[in-house]
Amino acid sequence: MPAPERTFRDGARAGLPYAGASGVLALSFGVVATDVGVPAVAAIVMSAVVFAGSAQFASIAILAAGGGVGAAAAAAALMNSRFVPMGFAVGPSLKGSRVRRALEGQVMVDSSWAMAANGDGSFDRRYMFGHTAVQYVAWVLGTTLGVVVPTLDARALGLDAVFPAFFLTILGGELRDRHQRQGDRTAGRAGARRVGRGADRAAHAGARHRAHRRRRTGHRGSAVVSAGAVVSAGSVVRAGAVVRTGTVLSAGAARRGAPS
Amino acid sequence: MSAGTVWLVIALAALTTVVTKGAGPAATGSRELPAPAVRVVVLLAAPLLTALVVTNALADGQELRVGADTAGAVAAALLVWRRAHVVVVVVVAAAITSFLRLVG
Repeated sequence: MPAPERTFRDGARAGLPYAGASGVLALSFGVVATDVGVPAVAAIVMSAVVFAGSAQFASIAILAAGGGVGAAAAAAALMNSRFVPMGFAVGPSLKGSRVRRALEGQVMVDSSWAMAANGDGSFDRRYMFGHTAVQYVAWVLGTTLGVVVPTLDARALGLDAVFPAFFLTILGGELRDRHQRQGDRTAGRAGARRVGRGADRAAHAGARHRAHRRRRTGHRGSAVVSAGAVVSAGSVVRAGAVVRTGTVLSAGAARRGAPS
Repeated sequence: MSAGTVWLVIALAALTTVVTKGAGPAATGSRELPAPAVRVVVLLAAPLLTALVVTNALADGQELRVGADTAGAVAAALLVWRRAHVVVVVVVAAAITSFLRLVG
């Protein structure tokens, strides 16, 4: 029996912690962007119309390092490339004509996409809208705060370390996920059970569903699903990969060191 | 960087976001992306991210050198490995960098 569809309000409530994280990142983006010479209004407009943290950080970082328009735009496009498979996954759960579906797809961000997934290939679209909406507000407000606070010295605050730190979190998710894709077919369920520590219940359940789906559908399903794991800001889509990585590392340590 | 450059990049970034987010839903119906295409798309992110991490951790104006922000990035890498939350990673990296500049 299918569970009732989760509502916009459900999504908004579940999105609040992610909105908090988005706000902090956006504030960093505002400070760093203005610090490297982006006009204040441009930074706010960028957050409002691009609304993709990794693309914004990447393109501004390249401009700041002296890169050209082409390189900066290409970096943004590459960062956003994950939305293509994510869009293919969510498309059938959206509504209306192709144009309308494309417009509804604009609402997709990593965490809302991941948490809106039902585990059977379908997504709760209203839930995704609500989840994204609160993050959008936090993203634009955070950027505004970052650019209007005039006395912030980004260098003294160490905010230039925010770029590599942010990219590292994305990369970490990506590598764990790839490990999972290459990996076994047995760790998924146990991994999903254990990884729930610290994550909220919905995320936990989602991860477990996804782990199930990976096991059922094999490589294709897991590739589509895991595209969303690339940049999920939080502990949502870790599933079995985490535990498996830990197992491999400790097994390696055991081989090198202690007799076992 | 000139303001014109910035606005152009913003326009292009907005465009690619709209296109990448809209492409899937516009194309689907009930069809799925072929598995080989998905694998290629998914592979793109890691090398780019690695390059960005390395250059940003070492960048200092127009030079590349080890500095306080490099230490912050190393701390961030450890935290990511320990699966810390993104906010924790970012804040700790900035705090360590800030502290090293304060005492250094």
